Amino acid sequence: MSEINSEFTKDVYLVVPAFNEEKTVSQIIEGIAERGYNVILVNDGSRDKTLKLAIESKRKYPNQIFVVSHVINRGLGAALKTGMVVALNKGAEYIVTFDADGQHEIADIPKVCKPLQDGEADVVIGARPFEDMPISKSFANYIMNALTLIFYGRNVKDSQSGLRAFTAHAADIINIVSRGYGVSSEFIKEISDKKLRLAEVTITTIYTPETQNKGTDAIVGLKILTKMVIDLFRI
Amino acid sequence: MTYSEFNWESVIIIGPFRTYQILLIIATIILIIFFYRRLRVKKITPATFGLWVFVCLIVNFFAFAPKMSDPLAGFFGFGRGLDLLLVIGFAGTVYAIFRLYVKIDELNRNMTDLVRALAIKDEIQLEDLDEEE
Repeated sequence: MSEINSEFTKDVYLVVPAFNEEKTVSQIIEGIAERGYNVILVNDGSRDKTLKLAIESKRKYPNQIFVVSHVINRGLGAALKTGMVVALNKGAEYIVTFDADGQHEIADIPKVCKPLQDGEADVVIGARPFEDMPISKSFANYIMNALTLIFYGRNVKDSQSGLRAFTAHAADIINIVSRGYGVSSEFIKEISDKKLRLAEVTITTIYTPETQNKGTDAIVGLKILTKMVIDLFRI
Repeated sequence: MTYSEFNWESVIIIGPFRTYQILLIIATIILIIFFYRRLRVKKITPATFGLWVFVCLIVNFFAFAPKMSDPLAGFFGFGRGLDLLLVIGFAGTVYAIFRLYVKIDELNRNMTDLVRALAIKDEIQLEDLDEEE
């Protein structure tokens, strides 16, 4: 049934935040577990069958799939942090954040882990080629990259990517407080502040009607911008 | 009688006092009673109570002696005391909104920490689910 934790996958924990993802959650987390990785599924107060389906998946892979559940929805950033804390508690060496909506290729996981395992980086961001995105998304993402550069002084190819990989040390020292989508920019800020080595690898993005409804659009972009400005005044 | 012909100077209720001054006194009394009751049940500190009484006294002072605010306004570069009052009011409102935002943000963070702690403590265990069934 599974490729049973190989040397390369046994210490890798995938953090998958999920809010109302009943259509894709089983396929995603079972697909990851099947390749030998560990999965922390964080149900973020979903009102659909996400939690139930995640538990069914756990029955199939009891030693690889771990499920924690927020009693109420707290946002993407909060769910990622919960998942990272759980992964660290379980002794993860590498932590990968992975969206539950099916926009990432499971085959890209080894790509983002490799620079960490080779000791070349502390954090890896899987950069989505913007030319593959619908125009509205790519425009919003270009703007977010520019804002990330202006506010956090870091020029990255894809500041809003959901596929990221961290060493345990990096995950431990990165302090995330954003609850919503602002978390992606905050990761970049923390990488800069903590002087972590960052690598970027190109990944595949799958755009379906479901994945297009989420992520960075103009409104989310404005909210993130507001947050960045307010954070400037935070002590 | 048209609006402009109406002699607004005649709107005097008690002796030399204007309507707004009377209303301000009533509002001040209500406000001080309100804060005193909160002080008695220890919902606010004596310092906070003192601050509110001080603010009320200052506002009343300038309401009854508006000319006294002109030198202060002149010091800050305003022509009239009223202009200075409006600017202070606006700045105070912006500050209050900012404080509220920070407070709400803090509450949100506390709530997230609580939700996270519960989630980690109650990680789904198949054995527990089987027992429940």
